[in-house]
Amino acid sequence: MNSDELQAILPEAVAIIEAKMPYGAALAMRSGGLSIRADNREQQASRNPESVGVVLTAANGQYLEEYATTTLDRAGLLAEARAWVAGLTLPPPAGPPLEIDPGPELRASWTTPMQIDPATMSLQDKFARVIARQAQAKALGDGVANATVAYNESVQETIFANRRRVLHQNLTRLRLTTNVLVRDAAGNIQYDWDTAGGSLGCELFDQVDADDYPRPLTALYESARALLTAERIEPGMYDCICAPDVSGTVAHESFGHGVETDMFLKERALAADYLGRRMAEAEVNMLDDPTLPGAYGSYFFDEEGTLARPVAIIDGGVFVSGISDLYSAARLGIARTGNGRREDFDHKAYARMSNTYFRAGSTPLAAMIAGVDHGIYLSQLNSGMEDPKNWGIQLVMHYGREIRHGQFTGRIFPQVGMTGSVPEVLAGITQVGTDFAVDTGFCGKGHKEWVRISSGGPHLRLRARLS
Amino acid sequence: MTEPLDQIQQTLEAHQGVQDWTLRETRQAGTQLYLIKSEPEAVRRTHTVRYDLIIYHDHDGGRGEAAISLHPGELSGLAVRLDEAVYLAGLTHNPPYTLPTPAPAYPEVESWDAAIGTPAAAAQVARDLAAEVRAALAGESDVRLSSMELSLESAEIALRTSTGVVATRRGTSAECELVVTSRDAAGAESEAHDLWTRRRAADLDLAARALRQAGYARDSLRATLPATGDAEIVLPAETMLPFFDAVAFRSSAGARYRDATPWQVGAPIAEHAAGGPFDRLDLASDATLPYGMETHAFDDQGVPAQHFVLIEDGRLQRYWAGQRYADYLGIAATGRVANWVLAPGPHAAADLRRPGNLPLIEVVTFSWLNPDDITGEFVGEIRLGYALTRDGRVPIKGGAVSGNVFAALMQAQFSRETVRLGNYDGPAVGRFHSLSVAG
Repeated sequence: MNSDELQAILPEAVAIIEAKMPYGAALAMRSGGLSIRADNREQQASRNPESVGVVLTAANGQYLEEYATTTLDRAGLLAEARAWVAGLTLPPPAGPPLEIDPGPELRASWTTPMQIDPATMSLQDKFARVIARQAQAKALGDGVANATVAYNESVQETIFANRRRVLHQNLTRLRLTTNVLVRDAAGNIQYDWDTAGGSLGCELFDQVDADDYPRPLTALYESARALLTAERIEPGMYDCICAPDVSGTVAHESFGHGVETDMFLKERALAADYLGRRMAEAEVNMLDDPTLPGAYGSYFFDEEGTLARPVAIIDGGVFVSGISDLYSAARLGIARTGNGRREDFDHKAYARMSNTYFRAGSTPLAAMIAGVDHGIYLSQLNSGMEDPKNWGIQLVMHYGREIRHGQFTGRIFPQVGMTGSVPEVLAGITQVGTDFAVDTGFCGKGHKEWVRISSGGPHLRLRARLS
Repeated sequence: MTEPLDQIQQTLEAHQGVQDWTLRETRQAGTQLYLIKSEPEAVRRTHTVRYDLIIYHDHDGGRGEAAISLHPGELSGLAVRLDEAVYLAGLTHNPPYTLPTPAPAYPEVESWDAAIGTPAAAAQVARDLAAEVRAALAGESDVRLSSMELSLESAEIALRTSTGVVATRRGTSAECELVVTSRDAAGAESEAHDLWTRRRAADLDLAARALRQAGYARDSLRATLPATGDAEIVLPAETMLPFFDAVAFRSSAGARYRDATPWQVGAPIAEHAAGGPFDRLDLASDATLPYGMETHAFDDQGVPAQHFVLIEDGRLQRYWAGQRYADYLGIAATGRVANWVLAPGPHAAADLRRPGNLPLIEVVTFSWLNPDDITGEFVGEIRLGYALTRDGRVPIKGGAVSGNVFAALMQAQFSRETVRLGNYDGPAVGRFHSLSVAG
C-alpha cells in the first residue's frame, strides 16, 4: 500500500461517490506485522498474515452503502468506484433523513510514540530476545512440560478521506506472552501465563527483562504447580479483590458494551434508560479513552474519520455518556465520540470500545487485602461476556486465590467464574485501589468482529457470585 | 492458470533459498445486509483477492518456514518479500518435515450454494431472507426484531505446492445474527440472541429460527435464577458444540509433539465413572460431510478430505495431524479436524429431558461457553435455560454451569434423534451427569 498515492486517490473516490450521494468517504487499511514464537520443541518466525484494502462508504440519505476491495491502484480503484456508484440509487424518503457531518477541514498524520521503532531493531535481535526468555522459562523447574514465549508485532496503517479531511495514522502494538505448562507424575497438566505489551516499540523487551514485568517468571511456575492439585471453588457470594485485568473487564462488560450507542438505536441496551442516573459509589469513575498513552487499544482517529478523545462514561458514580459510531450518532442526534471501529477494511464499522478502565481511587492494595476476612483474589482473566439488554455479566478467571483474615492462605481455585447483574456488581464495589494498569486484549461484538482493546484500572473490592 | 499465480510460482521456483513452498489464491465475494428494527442500517459488498505463500528453507539439517501475504498490485515487490521470508525462516531451526504429495484424486464434496454464488444472486437472497424474518415475526405479539445481520459469501481457492499439488476448491457461507426482543405488559423487556452459519442460505431456516428466538425472548422475561448444587444438564447439540474445541486441541498431533496434551492413543480421554448410565462416546471428524462448514476437498497444504475416527468408546484412536506433525510423530496425515460426527445414543430425546433424582436443567444458551483448551475446565453463565420438572418447564437465567468437558463427555447420554448443524452431525441432545450449577 503506497500511502502517499492513496492519500491522493481516496479523495478522488470520495468525489465520485458524492457526485451521486449526499456523503462519501474512503478508508484504506493495511494490517500486518511479525510473529516470533519459541517453545521447548519448536521455533517460528514469520510475518503475520497481511490484509490490505479499501472500503468506500456512501450515505444515501437513509442508510449506508459500502464497497470493500483489494484493488489499490488508481485506475482500478476508481473504475470499481464508478461501477459501484452507478449501481446505487437514492431510496425514496422515509422517516428522518440520515445526515452526516464531514467535520472541519483537517489534513494530519500520526504515528504511535515509541522509543525503539520495531523497524529499526533487527529480526535477529528480536528472535534472540524471545529465545533468551524461553530459555529462562524452560529452566524454571523439573515440572515444566513446555514453556512458550510469543512475540507479536502488529502494525496497522490507516488512511481516511472525505470531502473535508485526509487523515493518516501508523499504529504499532506489541505483545510478549509467556506461558508455562507443567505436568505432574500422573500426567495432569496445568499452566499459567503473562502478557506484557501495549502501543509501544521494542523497549518492551527491556521493560520485561528489567522489571520482571508483569510478574517474575517464577510466579507463573508456582501458580501453575499449585493448580495441579487445586479444587474448584464452592459456589457462592464472596468478598472479592479484582486485579486490574479483572477490574477492567468488569468495566468493559458492564458499562462498556452496554453504552455502545448502536445498541441504543437497536433498543438492546438497558443503559439507555439510566443516562444521568447514579450507578455506583461516588469514587467510581469509568472511561473509554483511545488516547491513553501506551495502551493497546489506542489510536488517533477511528475508522470513520472521527478524531479520538477520552469519554467519561461513569463520572462520580453517575452514568453520563455512551460511545458512538457514525451511524448511531447521526440517528440519535448525539456527538460522535470516535469509537467507530472495524475488524478490517472488509468489515462494517460499529460503536466499539478502545481502552476502557476505572480511574484509580483511594485505597492501597495492602489495606484492601488486610480488610478481607474471607474472600478471593481474582486475576488472570480468561474471558468475559456482555449482556446489554438483560444486564447480566460473565467473567471467567484462570484462577482465584483465597484470602482469610487479611492474608493469602496459599489455597488456589482453578477456572473461577463471576456472574451477576450489572447494577449488583457496580453497587457492590466498596473500595477502589490507588494503583493502575491496563492489559492487552481483543474484544468481539457479541461473538464476532474482533478489535484490539485494553481494559484496566486499579484493584477493586466488590461482592460477587463466584462458581 | 491465472497470470499472477504463474508469476508467483516462477519467482518461488527461482529462489535459491526456497526448498519447498505452498501458494494459495483466495478470491472472495460477499454481500452483507444489516437491519436495525427491520430497517436497513447498511448494505455492503466485498470483493477481495489475496495470495498466501509459505516458504520452507532448509539449513543445518533443519527446516524453517515463513509466511507472506500478497494482494493484487503488490506482486512486483515479491522478490524483496521473499528474501526477508527466507531470512526469517533461516532464524528458526526445526526438525525436517515434508509437504503432502498430490493425491490421485480429491474427493468430490458439496460445499457450494449456487443461490448465493454471485453477488447479484446473493443480494436478492439477502433481501428475501430479510423479508422472511419480518413476515415470521409480524404475527408474534409483544416481540420485535431488534437487529439482523446477514453475510453471504462465496470463495474460490486455488492451491499449488512445490510437491506438485495443483487443486481448486470453492465454498459458500451464509451467516446470520438475529436479535429478537420481547416486552411484557409491565414494559419489561428481554432479548434472545442467535448467531449461526451454514453453507446454503436455505439451511439458515430463518423463519423457524426467528420464531424459536421469539419464544426464547418471551420465556426470558419470566426466567429466574436456578438453585445451586449438583444437577444433570441437558444440552442441545448447538449448545454443546464448544466442548469439541477442547477435544480438538487435546487430540492434535501438534499438542502431543509439544507435550501439551496428556492424551495417549488407546487410553480413555477421562476417567471412566463406574456404575453410571452413560453412553459410549464415539467421535469422528469428516471433511466430506455434505454442506458442512468445515467441508473441503483438501486442506491448506493439500491433504485430501477424510473421514477419520478420533474417539471410540471413550478412547483416543489417533491424533489428527497435518503433514508436519504426522512426520514428527510418524503417523498418517489426516488433515485438520473438520466437521464433528458424534454417534447417536439409544435414548429418545424426550427421555433425556425427563427428570430423575437430581435437579434437571436444559441450557439452551450460555452467555459464552469457552472451555479451557488445555485443561477442559469451564464455567458458563446461563443466558437462558429451563428447569425440567415433573410439573413442566420453568425458564431460568443467570447463575452458571461449571465442570470439565472431558469428564462431562464421558459421563453423558445421547439422543438417538440426530441433527446436522454447520459443522456437526450427531445427537440432537446430550444429558451430562458431572456438572454443577451455581445460582
